[in-house]
Amino acid sequence: MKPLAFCLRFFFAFLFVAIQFLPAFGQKEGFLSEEAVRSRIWSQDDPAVSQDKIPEKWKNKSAVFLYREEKYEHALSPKSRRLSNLSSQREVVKIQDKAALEDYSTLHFTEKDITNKVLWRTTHENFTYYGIRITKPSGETKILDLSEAVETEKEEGGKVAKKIAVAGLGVGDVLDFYSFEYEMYEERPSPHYSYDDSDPNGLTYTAFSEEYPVMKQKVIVLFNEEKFNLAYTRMNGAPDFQDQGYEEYFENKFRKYSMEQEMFTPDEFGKWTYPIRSFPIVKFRVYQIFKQKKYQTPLANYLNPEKTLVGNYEAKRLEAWANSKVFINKDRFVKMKRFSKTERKPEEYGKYLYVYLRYLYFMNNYYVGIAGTQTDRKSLSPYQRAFYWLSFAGYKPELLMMVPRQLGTADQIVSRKELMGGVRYEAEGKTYYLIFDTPHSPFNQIPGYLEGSTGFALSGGEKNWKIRKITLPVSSHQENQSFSSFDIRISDDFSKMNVSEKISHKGLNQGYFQDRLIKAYQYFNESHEKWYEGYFLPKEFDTEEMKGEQEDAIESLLADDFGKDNATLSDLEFEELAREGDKEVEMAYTASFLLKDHITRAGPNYLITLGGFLGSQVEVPSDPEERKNDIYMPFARSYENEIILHIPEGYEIKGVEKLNTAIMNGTGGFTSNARIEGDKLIINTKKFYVRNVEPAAKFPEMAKFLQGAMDFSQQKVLLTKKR
Amino acid sequence: MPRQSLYLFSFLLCFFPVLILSAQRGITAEDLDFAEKYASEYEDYDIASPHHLIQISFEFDKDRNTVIAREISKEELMSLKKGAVTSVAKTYDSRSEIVEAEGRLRGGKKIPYGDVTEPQHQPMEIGGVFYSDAKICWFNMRFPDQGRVYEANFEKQINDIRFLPSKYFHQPYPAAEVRFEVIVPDWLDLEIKEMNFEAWGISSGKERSEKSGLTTYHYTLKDCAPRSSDEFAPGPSHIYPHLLLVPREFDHPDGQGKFFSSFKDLYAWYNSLVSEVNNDPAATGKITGSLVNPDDSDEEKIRKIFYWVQDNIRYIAFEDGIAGFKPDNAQNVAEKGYGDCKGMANLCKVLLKKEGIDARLCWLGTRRIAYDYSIPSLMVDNHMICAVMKDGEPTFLDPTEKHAALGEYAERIQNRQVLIENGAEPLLFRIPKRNYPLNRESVEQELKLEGSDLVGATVQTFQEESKTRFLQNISSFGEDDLSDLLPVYLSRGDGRHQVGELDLSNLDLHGKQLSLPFESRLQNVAQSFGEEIYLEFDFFKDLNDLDLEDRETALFFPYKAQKMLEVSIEIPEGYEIKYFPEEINVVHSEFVIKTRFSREADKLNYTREISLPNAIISKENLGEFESALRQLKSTYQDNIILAK
Repeated sequence: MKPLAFCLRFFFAFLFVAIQFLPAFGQKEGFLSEEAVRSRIWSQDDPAVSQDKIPEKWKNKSAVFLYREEKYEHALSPKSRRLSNLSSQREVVKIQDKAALEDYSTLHFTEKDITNKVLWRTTHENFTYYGIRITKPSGETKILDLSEAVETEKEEGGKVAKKIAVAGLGVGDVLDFYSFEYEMYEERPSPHYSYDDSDPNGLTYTAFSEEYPVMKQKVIVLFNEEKFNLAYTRMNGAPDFQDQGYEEYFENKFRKYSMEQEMFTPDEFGKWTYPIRSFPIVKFRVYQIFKQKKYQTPLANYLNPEKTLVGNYEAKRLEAWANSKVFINKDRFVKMKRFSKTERKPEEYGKYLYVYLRYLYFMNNYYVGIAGTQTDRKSLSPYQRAFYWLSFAGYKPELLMMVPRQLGTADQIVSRKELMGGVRYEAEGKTYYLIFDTPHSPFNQIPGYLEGSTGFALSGGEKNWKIRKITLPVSSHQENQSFSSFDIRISDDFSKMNVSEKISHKGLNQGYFQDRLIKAYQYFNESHEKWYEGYFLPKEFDTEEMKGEQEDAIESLLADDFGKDNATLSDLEFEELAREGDKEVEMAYTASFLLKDHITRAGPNYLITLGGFLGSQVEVPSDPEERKNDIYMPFARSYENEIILHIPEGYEIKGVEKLNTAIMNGTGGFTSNARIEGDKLIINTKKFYVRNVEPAAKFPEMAKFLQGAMDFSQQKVLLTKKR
Repeated sequence: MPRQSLYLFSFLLCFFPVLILSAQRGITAEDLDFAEKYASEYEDYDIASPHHLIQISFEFDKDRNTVIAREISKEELMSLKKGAVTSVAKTYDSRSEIVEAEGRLRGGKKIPYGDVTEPQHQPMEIGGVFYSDAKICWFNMRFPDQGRVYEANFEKQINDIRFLPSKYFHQPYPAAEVRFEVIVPDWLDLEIKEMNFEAWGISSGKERSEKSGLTTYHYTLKDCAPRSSDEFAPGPSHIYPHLLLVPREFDHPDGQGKFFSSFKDLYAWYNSLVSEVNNDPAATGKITGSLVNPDDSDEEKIRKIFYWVQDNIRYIAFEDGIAGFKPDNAQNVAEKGYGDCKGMANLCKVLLKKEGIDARLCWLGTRRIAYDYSIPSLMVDNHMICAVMKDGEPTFLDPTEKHAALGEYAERIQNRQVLIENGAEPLLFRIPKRNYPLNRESVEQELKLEGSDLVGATVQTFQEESKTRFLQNISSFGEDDLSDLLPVYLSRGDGRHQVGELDLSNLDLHGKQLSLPFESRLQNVAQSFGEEIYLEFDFFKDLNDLDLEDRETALFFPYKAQKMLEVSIEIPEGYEIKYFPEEINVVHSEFVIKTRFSREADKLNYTREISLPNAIISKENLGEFESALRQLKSTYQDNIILAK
């Protein structure tokens, strides 16, 4: 080897080794030093907020937030072009009783100190600071020494979870604590959809409702306009962002927005409440701007209503997602092609495709769940596949991007993360939906959380997308129906009841029961045989194990209805699991069980509670007219019951007349009809909810039939010897 | 190749995969028999141990002139079901270390990749303790087949043998054989206490080797069922056989030393730690302010200080090395506003001494521990309180027992032997027992019919431990939430029982008695059928949820309870009592269950008493108790009938 080459080789080897041992040079100095951050956060006290000004009406509250602040700063380094986010949260809380003192006696936090380098260039840096101080009623202030915190968990890569017992905190004190996080990272090269999770700040919900009343709350967002923009929407009377002009520091000229609200109390969280639809909430995110012309698209224009400030970047990502190339298994493709040629019925084709993709999608999710790794990342996008194959078969499908009901409407979206996928196509005057809700959900069923939801339909395909705003249809309570039939015989010693039940569920009522009664992995095996896609099977199908699990699940359902340990299952037979994708097929099973505690003695007579056979009932608050939030239910639905009680020989039933009820109004109803036929007491009941949402003002109407059902469930009949 | 050879080769080839497979599986017919047998006997368990050997030996540590112990645990684990997964773990702390932890195939070969995880070390959370130095070393093992046997091997080194924990035979899963071998060198004086060995059939023996100067003590328990998971079970030292290793002294050629020979040695060590505590009464006084008046009586001073510490110091326990035995100094605890039992007891003592009261620290083991100070071991105690001495008689103060009045003692410390600080010579006392009527919890209801509801006044009264328990349970309710949550609590979560007009003005947190009057509406509890009314009468149903089926251990109730219920219901005009349920009258030394039904003028009265005079139902009395409980539950199900 030539001396020069040898020297060079030696030099590079040395350089390589030297680089490995370079100290991780971080940013924790000057503006980002712990002292500087602390002084910035704690020097911003608002004289308008002090414990002297706590209103009289809040004096008996456990605690009062004197001040809450969230601050997000998004900077661009002018030299290195690297981006950095600085975020802080601060809470100043007055402790007013021992319950609050107990709540705040321990604080948990996670310390981060991470630096990644490629050669000499720091590519990623992430660290945190925390501060806790206590102000006594005398005005004396004490800052806690965080070195007294103890470790609770240490993760690889510089994350340490800690907790600290807050020393010196008493009732009457003000606890003031903050967290600060700094993260520096390289600029993203393009708005490709796969960068979905690395937004500067993903999507932040600022709820203006908290456990304790708040005297003042502030959200401040600052960003370098060259690289970032703000998208937000405010809901249910939340305050608006105010443009605060510009501020210059940290080598950046920041555009500043802030919003604040004063003197507000927590909202009541009643049954059937969607907090985002009911409480004052601001959704916002700061996103990177890509100004190149190629990112200016019709979709971007459409998704950019002035109000929501959704930018080009987000729109482009939606389009990139829609366009993404999917992995197509060639064998599968050939089979599909053959199927589409031989079976041309649009409904059959869609169902076949749906069941296959449902298997792929949930099989993959199942693997992610058990193995912590993804075996086929692309299969997480079953909608592109569905869209592609439907197009291939000659249909004109639409790719759906819907906003689930609990998150709001299409006008209120801020991020693609709020959208859920779907595909639909029309044929022979009918519309068919492919939405992969659960491993068992059928073809052409819209899940409850998307019924009546708004969103976007994309048609046309790559480079020629057309978009329109849509609203999905809503099912009726007749379509989502459960039917239960109980045949009850009293044991010879009158201590128990032998019950045979026959249960069926259809429509959206099926989902809940399928989830509880069917373990998906058991059925991956049969799908696996049909559509092998390269997965290995972690667990073989085991009939005995499945039966055991199903029995456990039924026993758990019985415990929900009849109380813990009251029902002992003796027999179970599933007639139909309704997993083949056919919406019209009802899930059905029969079971037998022995029930105790529902027949009680009263001298020579017996009292029988039959209400348990209706399942647990909704407790109605004493003041339904006080409800302020609209009533968001999962979907319109109905439950029918037939209860047949065999009257023991020599006995008669009293109190039958009390089991006849009929309460119906525009929101729903509860009816019951009881009669004696020969030696049987036969009761038929029906409870139904007409819509999936009702305005708050309708709650008193709903309360009437809910209370009727509750009263019925507490009624007893008397079994007495014939005279 | 000749044709016959080819046939022979093909024939052998047929068996080759079978041979390979069975060699790979390493599961014998005996293994499968074992798995089948245990799977049918212990349906809820996926794992059993065919054999578990724990060897404990001792070495002299010349550098520190002390003795270290080495515990080598080799445990065979077998899957009773296909695809079983289990975690195996060993705990350690700042005085010990895990030298080795690994999972192996039986015979020592490596377990295939993916079926065993790398050992992980992480802090261990102990209930009720804010921070402890206890850590856990664990790894997972997955068994692909039924009958597969792995070995979980741990080597733990205990660097201070005064902290040798008790060694239990019973494991979380069933075991066919558990064997302990304790190898004691001649130079070490170690007492091996065989605790609860009676009735377990443990075989034992010893072998001595003159050559090595070692005596090996061995103990074997066969067919060892898993530990019980019963609720309200006694602490394990009360019921399971175990070894308590008590080192007394060592006389090694290279060094000598003493451990604990009697409780006095134990006390001397505790006292040496206490003497290192730098209490500053003046600094404490600044924080606590003027708690007492100069003209207060001694009893008044004690009461005020005891209650101040209860009310102002949060119980937060640290068990970190020596800090697990040495109290934090009084001014630190007062300033921080929190402390563990030692810190709170020490603060109490300092504040009382400043007022001229003879206050002392006390060490004790709570009811959970079966030992007393006749055993000179650190395993004997787990708690510290304070005592005030007057004329040689102590009054005990446990400031961790929130809301306890002066002179009231929690069940967990009653009748426990206590070591009281007393210069060089400690005192041994026993904390007095309290009688169960002192803890009376009573409910009085005056009700009348309104349609199908019963309405009227209810008064709930709590004394001593029923009072402290009640106040402790509701302490998490904020003042603002109290009026919403307390009714739910008082009605035992029965949605039919509406509680109104709850008077909280007399919520005395340290009184001897606590009374809560309120209005009750009991919905749909009276059902009319023609001329008859069927009435429910017990809306509290104490012990109704207690299930004794399959119970294996004695019942340790939290305290000696006496629950009294008196319900008086106005008989509507024109009605007579047609039927009263059968009365119960069970009086046993460990439990009393009585019900009475009577009529007095226009009222029907129902009274019920449930008393647990010892707070214990011993194992041999469980059957009788269950039978009485059945009668009680049957009464709860019954109804009173009124007829026109």
